[in-house]
Amino acid sequence: MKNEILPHAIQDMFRDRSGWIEFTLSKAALMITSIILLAAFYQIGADFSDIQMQRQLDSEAIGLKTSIDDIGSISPDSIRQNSTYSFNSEYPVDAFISGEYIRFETTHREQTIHSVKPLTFRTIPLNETEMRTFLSNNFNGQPGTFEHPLITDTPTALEVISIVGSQEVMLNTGKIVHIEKTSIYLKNDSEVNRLEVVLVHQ
Amino acid sequence: MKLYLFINDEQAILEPHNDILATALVVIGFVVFAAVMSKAYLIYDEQSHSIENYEEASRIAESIASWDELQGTRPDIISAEILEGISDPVSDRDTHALFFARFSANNEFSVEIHTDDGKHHWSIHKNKTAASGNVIAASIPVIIEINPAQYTSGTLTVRLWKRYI
Repeated sequence: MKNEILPHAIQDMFRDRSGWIEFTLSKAALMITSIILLAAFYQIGADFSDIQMQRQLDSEAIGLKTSIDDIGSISPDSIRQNSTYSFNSEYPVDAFISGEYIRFETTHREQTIHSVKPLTFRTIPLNETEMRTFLSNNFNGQPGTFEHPLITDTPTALEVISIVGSQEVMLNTGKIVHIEKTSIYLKNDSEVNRLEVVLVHQ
Repeated sequence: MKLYLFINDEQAILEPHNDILATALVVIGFVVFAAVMSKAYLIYDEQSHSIENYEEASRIAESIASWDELQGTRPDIISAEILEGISDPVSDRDTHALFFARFSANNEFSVEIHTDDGKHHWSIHKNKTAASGNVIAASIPVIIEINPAQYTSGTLTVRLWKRYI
C-alpha cells in the first residue's frame, strides 16, 4: 500500500540496502555526539553542585558577618551590647576571622572552596581582657578605658589596633562565637574621644 | 570490487540523515538550555551581591545617623555644626578620622547629607578616591539641627563601592 503511494525514486531509496559507508560514518558520529552530550550534561550537573556548595558556604559566612555587623551598628549606649553566633553547618568548615574580613573554607570534591566576606565595622578578634592587656603593653600601661584613656591621636591608635586585626584567627566551629561591642577611649589634648570596636572571641 | 561499490554508493541518504537532524536538534536545545541557565545564574549572582551591598550601605547609614559624636542638643538629631566640621573641606581632622575609624579599613564609601529644602548640603569623603565600579547607595531620612532653634528634615545617603576582596 505504502509503496504504491510513494514516487518511484523514493521507493528505490527505501528498498536500497547499500550505502553502508554513510550509515557507519553517521552512526559513529552520532555515538561521538552522544558521548559529548552526556559529558556536557554531567559537567553541568557537577558545576551546579559546585555552585550550590559555594552558595551554602556564602550563606554561612553571611550569617556570621551579619551577626558581627548587627552588633557593630548598634549604639554604644544601647542595653544590648553582645550576642553569640553558633555554627550550624552540616559539613566540616574552617572559619577564620581577621580585623578586615571573615573567611570560610571547605573541601568539596577534592577542591577547596572559599567564601570571603569583608566586615563593615572595626573588629578585633580578641576578648576584652586580651585587648586591654594589648593596649596597656603598647600605650604605657593605659588600657583605653574611660578612667584610663589612651593618650594618643586617632591615627596612631588605629595603626596599633590594625596590627592585631591583620592576623587571621581560626575559629572553632564546634564552639559558640561571642560578639560584643566595646569602646576604646582616646585622649588627645583635653578632648576624650570614644572609638567603638567589635570584639569577636570564643 | 566490493569495496569499490561500497565507497561509491551514493544511495540510501534518508535513513542516516534522520538521526543527524534529530541529534542536531538535541544539541541546539542543549546549547540554548545551557545559555539560559548561565544567564539566569549571572543575573541571580549580581542581584544577590547588590542586595548584600545594599544591606551593608543601609547599616552604615543607620550607624552614622545614630553616632553620638554627630548628635545635636537632642538625641537622634544630627548637628549641622559638627557636619560642617567633618564635611569637605574638612576643618575638624580629628572627628573626621574618628568618623571613619569605627568602620573597617576596607570599606570605601562616601556620605552625602542634604536638607529636603535644598538649602544645605554636606558631603563626607574618606579620601580623594572617586567612586568606581559597582556603586550601591542607600538613603535614610534624618532630622538636622541647623541651630538650636531650627530643625529641618533631610536625607542621609551612603554610597558604597569596591566591595569584593
